[in-house]
Amino acid sequence: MSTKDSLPSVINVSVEAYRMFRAMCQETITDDKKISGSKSRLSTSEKPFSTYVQAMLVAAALGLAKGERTPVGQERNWIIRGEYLRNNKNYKPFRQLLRAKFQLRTEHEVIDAFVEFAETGVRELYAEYSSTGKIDFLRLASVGTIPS
Amino acid sequence: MRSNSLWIRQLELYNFGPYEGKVTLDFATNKGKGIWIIWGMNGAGKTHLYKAIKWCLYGWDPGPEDKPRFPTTKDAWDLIHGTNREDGVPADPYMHVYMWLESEDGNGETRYLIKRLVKPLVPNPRNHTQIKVDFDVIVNGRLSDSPNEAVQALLPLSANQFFMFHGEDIRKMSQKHLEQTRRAIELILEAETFRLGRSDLEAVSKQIDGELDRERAKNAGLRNLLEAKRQTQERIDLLSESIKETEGKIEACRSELSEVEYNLSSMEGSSRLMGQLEEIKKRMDDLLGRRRVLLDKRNNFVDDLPLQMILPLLKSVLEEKQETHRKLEETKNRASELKGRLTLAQRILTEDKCVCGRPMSQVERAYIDQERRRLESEISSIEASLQEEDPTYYEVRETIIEIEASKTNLSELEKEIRDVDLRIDEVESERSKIEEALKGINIDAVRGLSKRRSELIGNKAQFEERLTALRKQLETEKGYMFRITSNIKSNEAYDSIKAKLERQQELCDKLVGSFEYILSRLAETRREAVEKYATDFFRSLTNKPEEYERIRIDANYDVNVVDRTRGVLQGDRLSTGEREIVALSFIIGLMKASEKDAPLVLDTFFVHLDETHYANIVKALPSFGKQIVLILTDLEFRNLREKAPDEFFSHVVGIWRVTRDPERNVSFVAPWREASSS
Repeated sequence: MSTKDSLPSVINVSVEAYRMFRAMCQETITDDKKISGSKSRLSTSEKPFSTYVQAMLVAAALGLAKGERTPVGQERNWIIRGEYLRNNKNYKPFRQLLRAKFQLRTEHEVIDAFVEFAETGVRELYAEYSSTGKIDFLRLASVGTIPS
Repeated sequence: MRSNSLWIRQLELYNFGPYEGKVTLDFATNKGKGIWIIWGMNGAGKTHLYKAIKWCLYGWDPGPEDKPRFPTTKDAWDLIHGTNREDGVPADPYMHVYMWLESEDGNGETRYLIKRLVKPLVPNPRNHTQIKVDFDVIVNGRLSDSPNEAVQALLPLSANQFFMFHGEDIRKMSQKHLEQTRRAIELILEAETFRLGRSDLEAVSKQIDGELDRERAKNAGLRNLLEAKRQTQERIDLLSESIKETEGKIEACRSELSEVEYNLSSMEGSSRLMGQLEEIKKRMDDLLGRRRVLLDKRNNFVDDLPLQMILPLLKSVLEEKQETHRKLEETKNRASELKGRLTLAQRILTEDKCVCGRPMSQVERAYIDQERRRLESEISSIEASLQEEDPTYYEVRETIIEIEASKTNLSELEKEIRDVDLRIDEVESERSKIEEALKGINIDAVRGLSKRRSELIGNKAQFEERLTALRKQLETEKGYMFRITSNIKSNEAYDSIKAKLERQQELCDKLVGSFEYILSRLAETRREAVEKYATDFFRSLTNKPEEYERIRIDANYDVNVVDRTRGVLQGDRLSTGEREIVALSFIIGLMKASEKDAPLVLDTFFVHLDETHYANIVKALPSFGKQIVLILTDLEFRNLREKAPDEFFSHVVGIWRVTRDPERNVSFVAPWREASSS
């Protein structure tokens, strides 16, 4: 893969989406350190996602299932390093899907589409999380089966 | 060693059993000699006076079948006034029994004050772990350094049953056919003293041997061997000392262990609860661990969830690609078929003959050539229209297969997590119940005792291991010693002193032999004496003097009765009452043969006796001992007053009556006189 066609080093999302991801993830980021939150049963605030990558993938899948893209806008906040996505085995099917379905050519185009679908998905996830305090993953598993 | 004459001068109880506050019984009149009667109704508190004497001396109430053990705070706790109430908490946690005793032997009079006190460790003790027991013995105004040894010297624990017993004890002893006879006779023989004497003699023998060695040392050839012998002997002595010391430590561990285990068993409930609590904590840890695993699985599910979500989209993409792919495959197949036909046509034209080998005509050749041109044209047309194959088709197809293979059943996972949560809640509820139940219990004490038990078991094992090693070492040293002694004997110089050595050794052997003989003769004499005294008493007590000739104690120390016509009768051929009389006669015989005189405390003594035995015992009773304390029920006392001869009452020095206030559950004891009864 040429340098030009590689994943961007930093993935940005809108400030709004960033806040939502932050609210739903146990992970916090300090530079390149990942600190996982406690998984103890006694923890009163057990967040639904363990990492930002995990949350972004679910959000993007939801956005894709809905078939809606939300532009990121001008105010952006970096959320993960590009390598985190590249090294995640689950990102590859997204890349294949986006390239096949939308005839995208470069990695930048793919990641832009991925982020825009994630922007849509995160809003829906956050709406559920803020009203019920949890995410119904079982329901989400059946979301994809409903034709978008 | 027991004193020749021992008597109770005064007994003072404070908050003991049913007695509230201080109660004093004064036996000073007539220097304690004579019969003292304490009487009252059943449950009035008579036996607690008997128990008070035993508790004061030994810290617990040893029965005839009990093995000696360490007194515990539990023994004391159950005796504190008020611990038998509903809440089990005494209003006043202090308790004591003081006993003043006097003894007289050839060296004059000795005064003893035995003090056993219970003191609380906390303001309002709720159980025996919150009290302590102090024990002091003051001999002639001086505090004894070793109170337990002082009491053992006064009246050994193993001997108390021959001086303090109630009817039930005699019955038990008679049923057991006096298995403890040998121990009892050894006791009155003061066998321990004889053993010490023999040990002294052995020490003398060793001293003689030392003297001889010094003689031998005058010879230069023997000097080295003797030095080696001396050093080996030193090592043997040291090892023997270490063995003795280790055995003492093991015994101390065993004794403390038995106390700790006893205390733990009395805390069995709380100990069990704590065990359960530990188990629950373990179960909780297991459940939390299981929950973590399930959460991790669910987390993995969340990881895989986006793939499940995009799976239908991937499938629809694949379907779209599949049509193109199918068409492409069809075209490719068509082109391949045409190419086959073209190759065949080209081969026929080149070889100029048909596939069957027949030469071709001009017309046929022209037709095939035309066909070849048509095929070439069609193939080039198909190849021109053939699209480039989509490389993502296979990638997507493989991805779909992978996603479908890794599908997790979340609903089952969630159900399992819910089940684990429910079990965690159940265990938590169980834990809080046990913690609630443990609130009033001194957990630290239970933990402390458990810890101490483990320590003691460890120490005991360590000492036992050390003992085995020491014994092995001792055996080795003895082996060296044997070799050294043999070398000394084989030395020529030995001859010169051999005769002298032999004479000395012979003398020592004779002394030890004489000692053994004296001991066995004395034992025989004592056995005969016990037999004689027991027979005298038996014949004065039995209701069949014409049938039963005497009591016989055989070489195995079995106690039997000799019948004039039937010969020796074993215990089981006697009636229950007769066995009791045999047991009692034997005990009295022992007391007489021991030539010691200690206070005799008899609790509910007459209950199981028939008319004749009763009359005979009452008649003989004053001769049983110098100080006799009779504890009687009101019925026994009335019988005694009605049936005993006046001669009997001339021996009675004091009478106390025990009464009880059932409302307050408190007993009282007060001097009783004839007038007060009316």
